[in-house]
Order: sequence, then C-alpha cells, then structure tokens
Amino acid sequence: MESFSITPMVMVIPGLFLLVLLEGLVARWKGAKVYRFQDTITSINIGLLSQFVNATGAVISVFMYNAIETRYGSFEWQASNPFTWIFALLLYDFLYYWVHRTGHEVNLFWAAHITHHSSEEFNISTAMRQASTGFYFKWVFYIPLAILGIPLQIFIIIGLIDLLYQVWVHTQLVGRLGWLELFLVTPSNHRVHHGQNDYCIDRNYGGIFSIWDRFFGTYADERKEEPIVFGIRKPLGSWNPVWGNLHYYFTILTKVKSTPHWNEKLMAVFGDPAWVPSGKEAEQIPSPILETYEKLSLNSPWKIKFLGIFTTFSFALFLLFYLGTRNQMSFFLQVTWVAMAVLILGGIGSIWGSARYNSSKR
Amino acid sequence: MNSLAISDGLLFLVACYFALQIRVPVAFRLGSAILGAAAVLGVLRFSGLLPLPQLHSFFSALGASSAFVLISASVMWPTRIVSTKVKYASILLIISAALGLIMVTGFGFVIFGQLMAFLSVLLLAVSSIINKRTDCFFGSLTFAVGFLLFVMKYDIPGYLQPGDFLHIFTTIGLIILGRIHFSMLRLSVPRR
Repeated sequence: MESFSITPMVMVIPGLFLLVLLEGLVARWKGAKVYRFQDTITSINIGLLSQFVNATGAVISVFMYNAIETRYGSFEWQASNPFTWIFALLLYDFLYYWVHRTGHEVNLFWAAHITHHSSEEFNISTAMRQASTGFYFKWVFYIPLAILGIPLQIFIIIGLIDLLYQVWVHTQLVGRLGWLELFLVTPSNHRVHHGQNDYCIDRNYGGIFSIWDRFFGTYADERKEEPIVFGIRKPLGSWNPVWGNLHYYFTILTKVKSTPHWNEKLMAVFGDPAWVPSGKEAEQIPSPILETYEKLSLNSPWKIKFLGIFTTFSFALFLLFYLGTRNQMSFFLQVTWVAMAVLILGGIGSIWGSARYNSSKR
Repeated sequence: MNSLAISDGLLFLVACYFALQIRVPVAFRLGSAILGAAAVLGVLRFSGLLPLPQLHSFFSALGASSAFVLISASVMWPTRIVSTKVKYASILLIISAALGLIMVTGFGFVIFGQLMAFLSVLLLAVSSIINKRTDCFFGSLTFAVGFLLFVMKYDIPGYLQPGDFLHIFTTIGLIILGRIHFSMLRLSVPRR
C-alpha cells in the first residue's frame, strides 16, 4: 500500500470547496445570484484538471528554477530573516504582474490564460478555473529570483502565498475597501480585471499589490455607472473543461491559416489578442452591455445535475489521491494519470454539457 | 587592474551609449543593454571590486543567446515591429533566453549560447551580402572574428587574453552597426 503524503495542495483543495460552499450560502442569504450550476461545476472541473496537469507540469518549472539557481544564484538568503521573505514576495509579485500581463497581451500566452477568464460568472469557483497549459512559459519570468539566489523552497512558498491570496478577490459579495484599494488587489479592482467592457480590457494585472498597475498605467477603478459583464468577448460556449483549455489554440491556428503573409502569421501567434488579419477588421467584437448580454445557460434535468456533482466530487477524491501519492510514481505513470484525467474529464464534459441531454440557449 | 576589466569597461561604455540612444531601434538598445550589463559585471569581477562571477556568467550567457539575436534582427529588419516595439523585442528576448537556458542549464549543452550568437551573426552577414550592404557585412564580420578568436583561445601573452578579443571586437562591431542605424536615420529625415 502506497503511503499518502499531505502536500500543501492536498490541504488547499478541500478548503477551496468549503469557500465555494460558504460564498454560495452567503450569496443565497443576501439574495445575490452569483452562482450558476453548470458554470460552477465547469469551473471546478477545470480547476481539478489544472491541478492534475500542473502538478506534473510544475516539475519543469521546479527543475529549471533549481538548475538556474544552482548555476547562477549569486547571493545567500537566510529563511530566518523576515527581510528575505518580504523582498522575495515583493519581487515575486512584481514578476507575477509581468507574467500576467504577458498572458493577456500576447496571443500564444492568452491561449493558456483565457481559460481562467472564460467564466461568465465571478465567484470563488472562478478562482479555481485555472489554466492547464500555462506551465511551459511562466518559469522564464521568475528567473530574476533564481539568479539572485532565492532558494527554491522560499520561491515555492511565496508562489503559493501569492496564488492563495488571489482566491478571495474573486467575489462579488465584497464591495470597495477604502484605502486598501490604493495598494492591494481587492475584489473590486479584480472584478474590473475580469470584465469584458471596454474600460476593463487589459487592466489590473496585479497579484497581491496593485501598485504595479498604478506604476505602469494599467490600473482602472470599478465604475458604478457601468455594470461589469464578466467573461470573454468570444464566449467559450461549452461546459467541457478540456475544450475550455484548448479552444483558443484552435482560434490562433485558424488565424494563422487565414493569412498567406508570414508577418501576419507571426502576429496571429505573438500579437495582441484583439489583432485580426487584414481585411477581417469587421470580426472585432464590440463592448457588451449587461442588460442585453445573454449568458450561455442550460436547463438541465436533475439527473444531469446529479451526474455533474457526482463526477466532480469523485474526481476531486481521485485528484487528492493522485497528489498525495504521485511522489512515489514514476514520471511515466504520472503522465499516464494525467492523460487519464484529461480523457475522463473531457468525456464527461462533453456528455453532461451536450444539448442532447439538456436544452441550451444563449 | 587586468586587461579583461579594461576591455570590458570599453564594451560597457559603448553598449551603454547605444542602450541610451532613443534614436536607434529598441531591439538594438535592448541587445546593447544586455551586453552592457554583462560588461559592467565583468569590470566588477575582473577588477576585483565586487566579484559576482555567477551573475556575470548569467549575463554573458544571456548576451550570447539573446543580445546578438536582437542586434542582428534590428539591423536586418530595422523597421519591423520586432525592432521598433518594446513588446515584440521583449518577446524575442524572452524566447531566445528561454531556449538558451533550457539548452545550457537544462540539457548541459553549454556551447548553445555561442552557437546562437554565431548563427545570428552569420545570418546577418549572409543578408548583408544579398542586400549588398558592405558596412553591415563588416559589422557582422567583426563580431564573428571576436567569437572565433575567443573560441580558439587566441591570446597575446602578457597583453591580451582570449576574452579581451571578444570584448574588443564586440565593441567595434557595436560601433559599426550602431553607426548604420544613425546613417539610416539621417537618410529617413526629409530635407527642408
């Protein structure tokens, strides 16, 4: 019998489920409709899938960070010194700002990050909707920490702190927070980040601190007079977690194929997500208005809803088992588990989101 | 003070000059800035003022895998967005740096950086011949000579070490290619 190790993520995942439940209950008590069943289940499934993939994909980041730190790390940092942690957190958050900004402003990287923005709701489950394909490029941005010699353990802990901080800002139940808005990422300024209104596009990239946005001119305050429409301009239109991760790569491929010019093909990969090949400017989608915006919705029978809940919780247990035992697995076995997870979630996603079993509308 | 510190100091001054020139393409400035950072760390290291050998190695590796790519791109395509826009020059920097780090640090293919530098300079030389740009060709040739002397560990005992040749020829190459950018600017300014 394999022994089970309690890793940080093994502790975090049940906590996230509890937070979703808590926010759902508070929202119900306040009479605010911030959750939709299918959207929530999809967000959670995308989150579970990302943990499967990233737990193995993170090996690349950890390996590269460790190799660079060992080879080029120039200074000694004591974990017992609070200054080490403050400095590492500030630098990490600054670098996160650039990772995040690149994730929004370069098509290829947006293809990964779009997954997180594909929800048309904004709640704690949206925080769980993380990309499965971003691990291959993010490590490059954290090289400055490695060459300064910040130890791997501190880098991992700081990364986890930065990630966990960002969970609570995904809520509509908390309003503006006064002077904290000046330097912290808050639910209010993060709502702007998730909006698809014109004034929200490419704004508020910060992880913990909003000072980077203020410094680089990408900060925007929430506007009361213009309600935010959450989601992306070209909606995902699917409840399938695998498609949720891959759909924009196909969009890029279509853009690449649609133009014969090499410079335009490169723009399709590395240009701004709003860029369209010449002659196709009419395809740009205008800013939406909340009153007229139609969300993707499903009228699912209770059997389908039960299938959603059952598979999600089974899958969460499956993930916890994987995370707790994967250290004893060979890399090949880990990849096999991840492939299984992708197939199962993709399959279930297409069944339970299929119009055959539901009546769907937009 | 040894010769490496002096030749690195020379490279630092020239690289800084071009990095601060707002009239030359961004990619050229970015490439010069990386070479300048490597050079100043070299001055600190070889003069014994503040030796940070790992940091110097890192920026030297970055210079090899990315700076020459950026500089060559800026000369070959001076008006393309990869040369003129910070965003696209940075993407080229990130991709070439990532590739270099994966090959050198990840796979232990230590000459990959030098190979990248040499290939980008070779490409620049070929494009200069095709476009009949003599000054460009001499710029790329100067870089290539510096690389070759460094790789062959050529030295003049008591005076110059292999690294000095790399620094000196890179400095001359930067001046030649930088002047090309200035002359292109003069040509593009309409006469009154």
